[in-house]
Amino acid sequence: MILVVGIPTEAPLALAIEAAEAKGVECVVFNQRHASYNDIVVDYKNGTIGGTLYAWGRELPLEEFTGVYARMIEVSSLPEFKPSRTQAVDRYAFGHANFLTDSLRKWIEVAPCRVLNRCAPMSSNGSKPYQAQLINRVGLKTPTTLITNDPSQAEEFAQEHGEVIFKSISGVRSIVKKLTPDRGPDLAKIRHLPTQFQAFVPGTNVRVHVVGEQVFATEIQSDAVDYRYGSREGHDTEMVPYELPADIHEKCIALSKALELPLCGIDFKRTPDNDFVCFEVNPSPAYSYYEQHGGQPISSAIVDYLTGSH
Amino acid sequence: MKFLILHPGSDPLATTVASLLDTRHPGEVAAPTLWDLQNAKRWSHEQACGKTHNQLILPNGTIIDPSRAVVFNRLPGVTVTHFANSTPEDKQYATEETHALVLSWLAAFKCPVVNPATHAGLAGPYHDQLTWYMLAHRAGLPTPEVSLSSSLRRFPRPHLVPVGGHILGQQVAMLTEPSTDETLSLYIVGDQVVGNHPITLREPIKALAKLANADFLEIQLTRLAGANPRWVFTGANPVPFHVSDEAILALVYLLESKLGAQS
Repeated sequence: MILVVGIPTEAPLALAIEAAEAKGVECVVFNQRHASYNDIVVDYKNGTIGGTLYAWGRELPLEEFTGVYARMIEVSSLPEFKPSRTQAVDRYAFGHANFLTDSLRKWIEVAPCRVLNRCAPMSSNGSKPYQAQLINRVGLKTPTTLITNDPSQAEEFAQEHGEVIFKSISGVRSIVKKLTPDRGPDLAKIRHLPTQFQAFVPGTNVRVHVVGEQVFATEIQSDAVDYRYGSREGHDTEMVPYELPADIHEKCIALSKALELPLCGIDFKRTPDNDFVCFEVNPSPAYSYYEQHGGQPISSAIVDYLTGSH
Repeated sequence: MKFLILHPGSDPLATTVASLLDTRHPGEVAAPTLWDLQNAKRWSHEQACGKTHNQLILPNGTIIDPSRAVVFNRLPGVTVTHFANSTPEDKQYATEETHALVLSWLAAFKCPVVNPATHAGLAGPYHDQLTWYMLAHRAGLPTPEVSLSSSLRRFPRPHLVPVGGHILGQQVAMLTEPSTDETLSLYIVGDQVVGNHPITLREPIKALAKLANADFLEIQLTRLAGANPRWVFTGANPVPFHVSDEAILALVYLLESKLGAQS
């Protein structure tokens, strides 16, 4: 029996639920929007963690779950708990939902079963240059990067590398933009907040999803600087399955293990001379976008991982 | 510079350690605050070919180069002070960006750091209580029984009591074993356990610090009530605020020994 936690209509969860149904795997869906109608107890004693999830009339011992796929959102972001002009937030229901979600998260963090993914390891993505250091440790290349609050150093970096992009250092507002000459006057603003610049890496985007030991690579054909937002700028995007070189394949698995993220989305550029440069590891990948366009059975691999089949 | 002490400002422990080290190593101690880092004249954090190169020049012109130093890291988190008139969203963005930079900067240090930064915490490991209990159990420390319950009616645990007092009605609760008022705070400083503690727990306490990858950790023990009162682990903090004089001295010696080991 597997547990899926989050908003079940969200595409990555919906595909996993569908895959579990197709495989005849019992899948308990914990819809966060219904949290205030359900209950939980998490019991810790002498290094053993257990408990019970009470959902829609069923008492489900936590020990019986072989795996958990969690894409939890903040309770305060749920529509039920957004104040409106006509209705105040039910504070009791909010408190209950918050506690239940928090308890579930705490259990997930230490649960003895397979988990995609635990919360603490996911925070490595909160600092791109920090994560880049971890990526380098498994032998993968990352782009030449400068974080500075000195406009003249940023200008020198741009002159040295020709094409340069800038993007956030953290996971917030993570949109990649090219540093074009008309941005010159804006460079003075970096005095107030160090900014991340990267040498532009030419080539083709490759997104790799790792699920346990399984690796799915998708080549993305797009002219946009950041293909995820390409449609906003009028660019078309096409996705096709791609076979990685064996050493990159192995390093992707090693990276997933090193980051303790058995499910992750790794962003690469394949350069014209067939080199692979890694940009970042997404700890909560919206893999459905790639599965639906590229056709790889990622959701099936997720269910197999959670049931211990691979 | 032999010692770099990073702290958020008003941190009596950092100030005392800096002052003691400065007495013993005059002119070899730098103790910039978070404000100094945020207002640095120059931040440069470069990554190329798998290597990281840092350059930091503080507002007073001091060049921070920790490559041959020992770092005492007391930066529990980042708050930005120079975006006071910005929108909450922009202020939050500036905070996240600064945190991300400081984490990467600290993680790139090749010198000894007490405590090293990781994504689990800027100044050492921050875990929630259940994670600490699991770690403590692995280290051989006794831990109390705990329940997190959203319904005491549906899941009664009559042998446990609510943490932090009474519960009215069916409110959600964290429950634990009844305890006495007796508590102990002790410190792991390198290989030393400083402060009163049951001798049988010394090795497990050291093992916990190793599992947590922390050279400096405050440990809380509580004596349970009942027929068989025993000391159990109830918490750990990598950035304790008030520390005994004995622990402060142990810290100074630890930082000096790390400098010696480095050279």
